[in-house]
Amino acid sequence: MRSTRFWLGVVVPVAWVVISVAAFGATWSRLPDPLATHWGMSGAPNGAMPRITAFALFGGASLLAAIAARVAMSRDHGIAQLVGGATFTGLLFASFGVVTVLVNLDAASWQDAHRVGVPLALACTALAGFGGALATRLARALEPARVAVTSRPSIGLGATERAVWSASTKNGALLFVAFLVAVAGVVTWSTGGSWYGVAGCLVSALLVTALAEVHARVDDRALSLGFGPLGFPRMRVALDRIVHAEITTVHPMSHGGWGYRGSLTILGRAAVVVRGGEGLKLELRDNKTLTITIDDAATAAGLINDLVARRR
Amino acid sequence: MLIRIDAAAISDLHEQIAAQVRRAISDGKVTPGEQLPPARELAASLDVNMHTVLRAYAALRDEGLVEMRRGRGVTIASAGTSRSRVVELARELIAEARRHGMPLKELKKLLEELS
Repeated sequence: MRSTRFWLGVVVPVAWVVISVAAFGATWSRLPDPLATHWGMSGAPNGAMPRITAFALFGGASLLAAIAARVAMSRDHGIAQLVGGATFTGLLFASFGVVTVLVNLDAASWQDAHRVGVPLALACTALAGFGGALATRLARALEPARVAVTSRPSIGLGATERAVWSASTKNGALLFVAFLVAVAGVVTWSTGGSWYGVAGCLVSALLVTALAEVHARVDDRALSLGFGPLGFPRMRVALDRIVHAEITTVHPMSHGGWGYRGSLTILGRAAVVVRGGEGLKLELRDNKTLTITIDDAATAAGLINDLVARRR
Repeated sequence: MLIRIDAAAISDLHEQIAAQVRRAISDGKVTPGEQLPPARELAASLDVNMHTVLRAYAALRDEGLVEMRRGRGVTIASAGTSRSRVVELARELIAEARRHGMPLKELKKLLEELS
């Protein structure tokens, strides 16, 4: 597996850094200064940056992504998510850098740069997304094999007993971030900023709020999750889908950060990460896993295992 | 918070539910201000009548362990944590006195004398 590490951690990252740097380096004297770096919804350039700043931004971001990819390879856990994210970021900045250079080439001033439409921006994002997903998939083989389950927690639920378990977990820091983003939205609005800037801030604030809090309940039918202070949106995992439950320690970075990470349908692996630490890990049918950071995970895992055993 | 009840046990279901909440409070599994699950939801999860759950919640309110407010649901009272331990012990004491045939009046007198 040394070659996979070498490719994903060295060859590919070096390639995107070289592309970003070379795109600017090879065309330096043919670029206007400042050069166009932002385009409106209509495709016309509407923002510019000094040439050296643009170079530092694209080169620097590519380099940081490359370092992240290299670091991912020296870790034991969360290699796939981290290298996937790094590859996505690296390819995104490299492709945006190349596009920026090409449309500015030989323009008299930044206003004369070629138009960049939404499709081109989407194509770059799709390319980066594809690269990131591929890197994630390849790197998964580097992850340590899943250790066989040695303990199956139980709460010793009797045949005539009925039980329900519920718990909530909050992340104050994330709530504060959501608050700051909302404030940024209000400031944007009051200073006459663009409407999509305001809407973007408010939507982000709502999303972060929803992911800063999770409520969980286990009864004899399902594990139900509710996000945010209102417990909405909801998610339900029927007990029939659960093979067994165990306790785990969650490292947010090994899941690629906070929030709802991964996808059960596409990747077969998802995690609800509100904070680091104690968590509940569910082994689902079809080899899927769902991890949830929650307090009192031992009781939840015990109850789930007892209820699942009863259904068989 | 885990609430487990046993239909085959001698004590009533509403008493079992109240006892489980009491225990969760004194164990610190729930903290003051935290909401208890809505009665309807808990009743559905435990497959019991909603009035059974409401009866349990009413008992906890009378003991000063939870607060019931319209529109805000049932929340753990701020004094709940420290109080629940005392309530738990008091219940044990009453049960013990009853087992030994001591009337409630005599128990009250004993408590007054001792304090």
